[in-house]
Amino acid sequence: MTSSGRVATAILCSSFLSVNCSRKTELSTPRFRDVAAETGLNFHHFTGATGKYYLPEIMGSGVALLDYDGDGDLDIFMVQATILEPGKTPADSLFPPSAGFKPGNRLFRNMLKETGKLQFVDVTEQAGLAFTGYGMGVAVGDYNSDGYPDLYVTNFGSNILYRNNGNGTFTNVTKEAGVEDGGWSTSASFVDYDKDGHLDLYVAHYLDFTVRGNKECSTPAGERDYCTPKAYKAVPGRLYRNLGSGKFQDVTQIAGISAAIGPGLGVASADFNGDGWPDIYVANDGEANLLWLNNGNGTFREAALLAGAAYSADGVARAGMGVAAGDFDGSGNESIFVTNLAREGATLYRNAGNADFTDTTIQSGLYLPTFPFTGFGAAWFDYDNGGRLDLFIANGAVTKLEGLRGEPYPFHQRNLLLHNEGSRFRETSAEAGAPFALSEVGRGAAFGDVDNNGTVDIVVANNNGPVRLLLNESTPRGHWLEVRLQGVRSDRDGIGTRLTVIRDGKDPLVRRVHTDGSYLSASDVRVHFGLGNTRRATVLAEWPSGLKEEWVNVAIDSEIVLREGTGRVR
Amino acid sequence: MPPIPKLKMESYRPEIRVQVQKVYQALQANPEDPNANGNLGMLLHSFEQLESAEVCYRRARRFGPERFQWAYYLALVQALTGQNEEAATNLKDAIRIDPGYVPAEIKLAEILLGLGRLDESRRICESLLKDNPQLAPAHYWLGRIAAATGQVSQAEEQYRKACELWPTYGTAHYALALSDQKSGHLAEASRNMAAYQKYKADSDPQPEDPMLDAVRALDNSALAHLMKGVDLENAGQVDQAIAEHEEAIRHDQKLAQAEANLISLYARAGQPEKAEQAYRATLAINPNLPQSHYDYGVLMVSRDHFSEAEAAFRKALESSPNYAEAHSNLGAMLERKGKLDDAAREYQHAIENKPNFRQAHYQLGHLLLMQKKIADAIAQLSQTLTPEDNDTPRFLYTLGIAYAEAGDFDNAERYLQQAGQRAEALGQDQLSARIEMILKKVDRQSSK
Repeated sequence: MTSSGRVATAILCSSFLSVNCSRKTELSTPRFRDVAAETGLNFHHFTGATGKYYLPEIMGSGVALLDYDGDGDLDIFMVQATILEPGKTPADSLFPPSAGFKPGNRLFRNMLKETGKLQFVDVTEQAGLAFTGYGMGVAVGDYNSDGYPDLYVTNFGSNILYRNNGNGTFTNVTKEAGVEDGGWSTSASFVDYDKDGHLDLYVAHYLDFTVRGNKECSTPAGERDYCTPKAYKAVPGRLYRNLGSGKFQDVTQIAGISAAIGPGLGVASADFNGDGWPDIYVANDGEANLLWLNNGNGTFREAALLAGAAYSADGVARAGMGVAAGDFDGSGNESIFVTNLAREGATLYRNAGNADFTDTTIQSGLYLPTFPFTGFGAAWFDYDNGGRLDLFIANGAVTKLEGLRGEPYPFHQRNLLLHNEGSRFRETSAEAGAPFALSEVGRGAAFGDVDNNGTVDIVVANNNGPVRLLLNESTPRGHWLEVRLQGVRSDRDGIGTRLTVIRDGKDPLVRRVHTDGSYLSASDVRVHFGLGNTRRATVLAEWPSGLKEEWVNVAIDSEIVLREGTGRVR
Repeated sequence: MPPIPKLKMESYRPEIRVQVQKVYQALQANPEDPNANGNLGMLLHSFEQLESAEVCYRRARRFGPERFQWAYYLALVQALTGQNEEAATNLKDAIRIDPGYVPAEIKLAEILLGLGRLDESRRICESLLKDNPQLAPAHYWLGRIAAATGQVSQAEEQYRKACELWPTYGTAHYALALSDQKSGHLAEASRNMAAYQKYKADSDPQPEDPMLDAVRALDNSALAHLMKGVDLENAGQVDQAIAEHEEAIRHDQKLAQAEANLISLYARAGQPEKAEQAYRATLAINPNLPQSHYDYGVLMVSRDHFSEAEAAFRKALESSPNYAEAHSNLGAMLERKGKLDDAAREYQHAIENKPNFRQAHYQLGHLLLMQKKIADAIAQLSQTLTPEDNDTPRFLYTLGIAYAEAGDFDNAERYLQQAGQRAEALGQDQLSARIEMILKKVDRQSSK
């Protein structure tokens, strides 16, 4: 085993208190505090709205958590939009940017490692990431396996692949890599679908909207409003195969990904049928969601309908936005959570194994709390380190809310926190602190341990609003473990690796290495395990390369680094 | 007692404003009249002003506590805004006032299921079935309740009864298909999924709800007529769809989408002059709607005005460069003019933007076949075979020809035979006869 050797920053329970700790963990109080402004994370999303109600204005944008400089703490990349109406400048916008506004996407460097204090510095220009297109989302993956995470930024317009040079700067390599794409891209996922050790790329596309072809839509009472996706046509997603030479090949048709189309917004890649090959799930807005099962020979078959993951239980296509895939019920299977439009409720597709999904939203207690909200970014994460995956959902409407009539931007809603209580979820937003009382237009959300204290924090990208960094200060909480992988035959970060933590006398915990999911966003590549009162843990890794190995009695309450080929082969 | 909601009249479209103002003033004149409160609630409800509608219904309930309709409407609005506990309470009150109103009981069963109160929900459905044994939705909800408690066979039984009672019940077919799939009854699953696909656009067999219909009828806006028109068009009722679109335009002469939809509707109804008028009217409101140019282009093709059609498809692409159908049709126009490379490029653009666009694959495949690029033609034509429809025999036929051109007579025979069988089944006699003739030629070639 190789371990980072870092001393755990949060020793939560001394050994003689472990039993009490366990009890307290059950009764944990969620507590989140927004520290964006006080830590220098100054970013305000600009929609460019000029009153024409261009659809992209209400859909963005995303955020990424990545350690771009490899210094051991998470940096933050925010996606920005710009003005869309021809001939107008940002100052002509209905919501013009405030003084000191810096246009374009922004990279904020986390100074925690250098200074011991959580503080962010805008390093966009030095990093070579200044871009002022109409940004939507971002995916993170080390596509060239050089140890430094690269960025793929999706736009309304051509996308951009930034290669991380490993010296704090990035180079735009889009054209030479062949992933320029175009149209209106949304979420993207780095996934090694052919298991050749090189991360491939799936890019979801939304609609054929153009500024010139903008349509006029209105509320039932006749006020001008944003159109629904029904006003436009869906555009197919694209799959790019990484050839390993810095170039990608568009294999959309060869791989069969073109056999079904929908207005894609959310993407999550995982092995849903347990055959060892990564599959791709796409949440579509108002049309059947798509489940691309990997045939293991470079092609996919679409199987959502009979798998039970295309529609809600009543056979109706929902307005799928964000996706979260994870083993929320301890079954070892990747279940899928999809956020939808208000008055639809979110959808939980429980996976009984072999991609056999059942809509269990109602039974799980998720229908009623999510029903009033239009959900976007979402993830399974264990906020109290209790060992079960809880849920966060960023909310915000896409058409005017009647209850907010007369307000300048009547789309805001509050976000949701839901605690996994075993068989059901309980909403804990009201207990979780001031950020959950805020009403904003939530879109992207990224998840990761920003302050390296063993808890998962949340960055929320608000549409036409400020970014929020929700620091997780929940107490008491259980033990934890953060695992960073170093692939050798597999891709460098071991994306897609199935990690199992085996605990004495407790059910194993299964998690997947990923950065995708949520909405337009990319999360920490490290895998976080909440261990409850477990004090001994063995980690089993099933790498994309096929290697299965384990590390016995790893150091808990710390981050460990596991290199492919250094464990005990199983 | 909540105060009368303050409405921002200036935000309503003029014709709606007049309607709302009239009812609002009546309420202000009689603020404690349950009907005046309820009437404003209904009007706001019809325009989906749910928060304000709820306030009005609450007031109506307070001043007229024994009126079924205010309790029922209040519950419906509360359910729509996620206040399900309150909705259940008000529905129970409504049912107490009028125990015979089936839609209220069905709604209550549905809400209680959402609340996880499965036993209560089940009791309501069972009670409904005692009085209305043919009530398919009650069986469906009993199935959902059984499924929620893991009783798979009971769930299947209930779904099956729902489907038997109402064979076009798409939702029940869907639930049954998934349940069959999980039970390993794959043939049944496939059958029920096909039924779901067939009937999913049809309305589910909800019992008639004249109370809710009364609310819906209040929305006489242009948008409401447009939406009704679109539904009618999707249901194939062209004349009625035209009437609704025309009504929408009478209410709002600047509703570009209604004019744009009329282009193809009039064309389908055999009224090309009116279709052209609708196109010009659309242009006057919004010259950049890609669909209007596209539909006009199709109209021009049907009238053999190919240069106008080409121009229209190009205009559609100016507004929407990824418009696959416009690329494909532009390709066809260019192919007519003998600009084969340009045509092929347009077909390629169509396919790039809509990879499962079978017509574009066919057009490109056919063009490549004419150019004797046989392998490429076969690759394109092979993309046209699923899903099957009335075009499938023609696609199979062309693929068979392509294989014959390649000298692969086994595959040629195979696809031509498939084409012939399907053409015959679909009554495509001319094609069937042509296939038979080609098959004989292929047979002769292969035996050489």
